[in-house]
Amino acid sequence: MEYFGNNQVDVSLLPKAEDISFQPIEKEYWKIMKWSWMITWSIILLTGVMLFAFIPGLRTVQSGLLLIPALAICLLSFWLMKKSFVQKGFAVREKDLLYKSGWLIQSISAIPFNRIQHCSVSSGILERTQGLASLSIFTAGASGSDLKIHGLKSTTANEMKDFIMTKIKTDEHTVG
Amino acid sequence: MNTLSADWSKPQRQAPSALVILLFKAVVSLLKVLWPLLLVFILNKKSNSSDKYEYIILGVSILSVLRSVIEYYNFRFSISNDNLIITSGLFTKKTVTLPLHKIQAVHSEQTWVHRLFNVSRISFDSAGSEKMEVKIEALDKLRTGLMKELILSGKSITVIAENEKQIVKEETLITLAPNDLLKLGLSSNHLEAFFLIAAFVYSTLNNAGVSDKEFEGGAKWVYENFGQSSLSLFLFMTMVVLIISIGFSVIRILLTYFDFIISRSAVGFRIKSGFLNKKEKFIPFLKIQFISWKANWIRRRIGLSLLQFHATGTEQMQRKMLVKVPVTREQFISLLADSYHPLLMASAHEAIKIHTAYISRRVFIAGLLPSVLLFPFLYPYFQFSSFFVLLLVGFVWLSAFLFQKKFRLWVDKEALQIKKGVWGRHELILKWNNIQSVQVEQSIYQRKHLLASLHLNTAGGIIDIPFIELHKAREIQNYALYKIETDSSGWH
Repeated sequence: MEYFGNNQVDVSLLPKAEDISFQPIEKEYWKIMKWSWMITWSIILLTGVMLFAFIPGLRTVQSGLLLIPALAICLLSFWLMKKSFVQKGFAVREKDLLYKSGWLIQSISAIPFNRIQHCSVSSGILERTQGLASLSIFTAGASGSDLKIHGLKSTTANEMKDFIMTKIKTDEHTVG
Repeated sequence: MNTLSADWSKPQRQAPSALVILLFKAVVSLLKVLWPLLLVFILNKKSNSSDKYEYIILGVSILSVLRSVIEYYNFRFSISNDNLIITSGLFTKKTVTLPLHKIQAVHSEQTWVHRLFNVSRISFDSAGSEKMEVKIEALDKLRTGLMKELILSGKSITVIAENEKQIVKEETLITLAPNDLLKLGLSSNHLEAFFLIAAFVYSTLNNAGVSDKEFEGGAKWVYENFGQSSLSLFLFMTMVVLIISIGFSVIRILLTYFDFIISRSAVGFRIKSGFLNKKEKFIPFLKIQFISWKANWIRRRIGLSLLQFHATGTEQMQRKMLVKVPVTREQFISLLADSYHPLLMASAHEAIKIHTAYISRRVFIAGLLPSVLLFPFLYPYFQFSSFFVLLLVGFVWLSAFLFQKKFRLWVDKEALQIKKGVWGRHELILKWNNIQSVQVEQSIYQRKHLLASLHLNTAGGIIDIPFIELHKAREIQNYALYKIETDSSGWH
């Protein structure tokens, strides 16, 4: 007769995602975040200034006062960005990949390799200047379940992609 | 059709009636596009002035008819080496090769034109081929049935031919009696029905040239005739709204669920329903990611629920598979869920509840904060009335209170079950191996109070579990990962 096992699982002995140490993303990525922040806020503030300059109806004290909260939000977003940068980190385990992000709302996402459909490496203009790339991981889940890890060295991102693809193929072979 | 492999391997045309259906479709789409031109042509005819419109309409019509005829004669389909092959087109030849095992779902549909000729439109969805829809416009009943069974079984053609009888065998699970339909119609969301019909009437009248001033005139007439006392106006309006929306809801339900049958075969559920447009949908067991069922406040009292199978696939495919199955008896839920996973016995498991802090946080974020921010903007316009915005706080508190009170999560070795809802009831059952990824989330407040929210991502949608104790969230995350990573059956 074929062996049929159904042992009880001790949940306390399961590997704990919260106990692992996360590897931080590259420090150079902070420069890219700063550049993105500067570009975004320059556009916003420039639009505001142009509206103020070209629409006479907006040239009031009240409109000018709006600059105070706008600047406050601008500085706050910089502070939050710095906080969230420190939080970003990833960990590769034997059977899954974990990604930690966010400061206001901190999250740890875990994607098992046997649920990954495909992954890709991309790198924008700013990232290329620092030799960085982003690794995107796609599952069959809703869009919220996909993952993008920014701030990886280009070589690391490609190595991780190759590692994941090999894992997927091996798992498929084992299951199949 | 005993030797199925021989039949399907030869490229074949659709049923001859497909030509009529394609022509009909061409005429309908022509009318949709050309009706203004046609209107001008008819008006010009009255004034006895024949002109270029005649030639334009004639030319476009001939081209359309020709296109339909070419489309019909150049369309071939076959099944060879376990691939569905469809060739079409004259100037741009197109060949679609779809491996049978990649097909996630087969849908057959009968509009009233299809029913005239006793044929069905059959369409196929596959994973990884988003936005590529493969369909056969008209196929006779026999070939439709055989093709569906062949593809849904996921087996080779020869095997299917041998086991054909076994696969076709089906067990009817639920049918709806006329009083069930009436109960469903009467317990529908009438407010939604009213707004739908109001939007439709308004846009139709606007398109027909009725101006806003004329709308105001109508309102004035109602006010003059019934506005002597505000109570009679209120009663009149309430009656009108009630009658219109209840009537609309009942008709909508009748059209959707007329002749409703859900049956179970060896490979999945088959659901048939519809009055004018008879629809038939297949949901293979393997594609079901989780099952949910819900009932609004009224339906809970009369024992009615709507059950939904959340299937894997592209958004387009999920929309096609989306069927809300009316459940008229409580035991039908477990009957339908059994093919996925038996319902968990609430008494046998310890329930995980949402922390009470959820209520205060919801009130603060969704009630108090927006009210306080909105108030200064509203006050200059509405003065004292703007204080009504504070009612939002009360509403959010009540909703959050009821949600927190009702929420229960039961966890078992193979599945988890959630019961939630605000005014009504919403339950779901999910097998661990259907999870794609797990996310534990914590706001600053949650970090201070050792709480967390959990998001379970599945191929059928995201399941959120808010404000549970952190150690429980982590336990669930670790257990889910363990179950997924030791799952050797794979997911579908």
